[in-house]
Amino acid sequence: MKTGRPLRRHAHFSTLIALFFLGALTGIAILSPWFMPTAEQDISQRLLAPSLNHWMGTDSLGRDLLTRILDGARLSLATGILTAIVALFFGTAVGATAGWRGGWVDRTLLRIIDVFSIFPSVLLAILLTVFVGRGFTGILLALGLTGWMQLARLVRAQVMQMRELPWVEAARAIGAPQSRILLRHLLPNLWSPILISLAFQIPTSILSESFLSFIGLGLEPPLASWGTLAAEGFRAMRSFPHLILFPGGVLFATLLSFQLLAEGLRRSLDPRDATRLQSGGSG
Amino acid sequence: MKSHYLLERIGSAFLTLFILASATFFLLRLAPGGPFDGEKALPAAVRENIEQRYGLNDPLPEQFVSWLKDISRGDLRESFQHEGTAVTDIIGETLPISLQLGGAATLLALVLGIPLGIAAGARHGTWLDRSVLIFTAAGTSLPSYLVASVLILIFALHLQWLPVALWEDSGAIVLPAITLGLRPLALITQVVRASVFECLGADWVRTALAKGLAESRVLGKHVLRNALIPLISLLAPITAGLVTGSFLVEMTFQLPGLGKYFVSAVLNRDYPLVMGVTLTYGMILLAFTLTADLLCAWADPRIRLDAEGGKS
Repeated sequence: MKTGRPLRRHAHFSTLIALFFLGALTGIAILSPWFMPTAEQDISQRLLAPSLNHWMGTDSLGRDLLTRILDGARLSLATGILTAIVALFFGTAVGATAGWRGGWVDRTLLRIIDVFSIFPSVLLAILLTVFVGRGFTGILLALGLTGWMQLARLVRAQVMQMRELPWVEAARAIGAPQSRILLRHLLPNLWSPILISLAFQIPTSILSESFLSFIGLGLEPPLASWGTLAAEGFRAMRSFPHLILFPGGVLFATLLSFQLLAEGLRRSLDPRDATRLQSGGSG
Repeated sequence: MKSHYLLERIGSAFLTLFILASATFFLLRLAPGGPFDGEKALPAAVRENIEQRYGLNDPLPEQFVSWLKDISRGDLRESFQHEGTAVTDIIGETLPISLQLGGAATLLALVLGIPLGIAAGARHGTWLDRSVLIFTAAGTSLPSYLVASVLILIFALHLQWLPVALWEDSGAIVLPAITLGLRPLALITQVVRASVFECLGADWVRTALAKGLAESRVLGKHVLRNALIPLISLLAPITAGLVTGSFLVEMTFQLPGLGKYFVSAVLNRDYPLVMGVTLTYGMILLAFTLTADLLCAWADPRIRLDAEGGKS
């Protein structure tokens, strides 16, 4: 109980920093096409180390690395966020249906969740990209289909618990259609676990996309995300470490910020977490 | 009751594996492109001959049944790309390397993670706890290729203590194992820290302390045992992460493990090899999930009674 307070303020502080970083990054990513020059090729300026002119150095074609990273931010963030939304949609839909309908529907969906869960996510994504293609939508679908299982399990368990509650029974008793009960009565009560899971899913998706691009199976050129930059940098690492350290570092800072943000969100939204902290502190 | 639960779980595992196999089979076959679409088009007759040989012209369901018959005899067929090499041989050669890597990473994660977690949990709110918190947050967000590059830059290129990639060298496993082990290490530390902290607030710890037991004894015996139970349920997700992770780490460090052939096999539509690798990964994951479930049921009888495994 003595330590509870400073720790919590500390946590809030880190959440704020994370929020600020992500806000700045997203802002630049969205606005950069209007005010930033595109990364021009300049062969005379190849592979320069970081300097005042080029804060993060230049790449093998003389393009400014910082500009390319900020360019990549748009793609990486967009994939991460959209993929997480796709995963969210699948997870909620499958979980809610399974929990609400029960019986054989539940058993079938649970089995499907199991099958997806024993499929290593990157392998599944690779197989799916073969099927849906490697365009932006293809990657979105492939990655979205690999990250929905945990949320589905969570939503299923919650819906199962809730459908026996008196107010749901009351809604059923007055003859509300099932879809209305699900959408209007149950889902609004699920928004905090869904939001928390979204916050945790975004960094996972960004990371998965960067891996796919890193091994050369992600977005196809000329689209370049952070993973693409890292792959280029990794090959030249021996002589030009800045090419891998900067893209990797920015990716790390982004993932960490999302992680901190998600933690902060969970602390403030999850009632169980808050009580645990209190009872733990006073015990 | 007990054996019934076990049988049910094993049966269910096999069903899941079967669905995985059929889904992969049809997904792969219905995807555009074929194994013999090279840069240069083969003469029609040659192509016909090859496809005849591998039975690729039969109706899909028929091919599926014959493939099922083969794998039920333990025959994963021959790879298309590596002509004349049985897929079982390729797996037999590469799997041990992946297992070594995964084993070393797990060992690292457990050996460092449990003491770190206990120390941080027992000294809640101190500078030690905070540094551990920062470390674990970083550990779960570091992309493995960044870890790999930093490690290679420092230990292989700058200090020249360890080899960069060559598997033949005895120290070769060190850097990949650290890269792979970092994330599970962070996860294990987080979980142990949280559960030690929670246990310390429990009534029975207060009782133990009140009756005059030394703190080290309470921590080492009473708290430790209870705090490790959540680790069991972490076994499955950690293995899943290790399997995916080992695939990526193998690609990064160019290790000749199971993941090495997967990408090229998928791109070249080497059906037998893709199926073989997928099944192997699936079986490993399933085995660990099953073990984790059984261990959970053993440690916590409530789960056993709750038949349908609907834990949130």
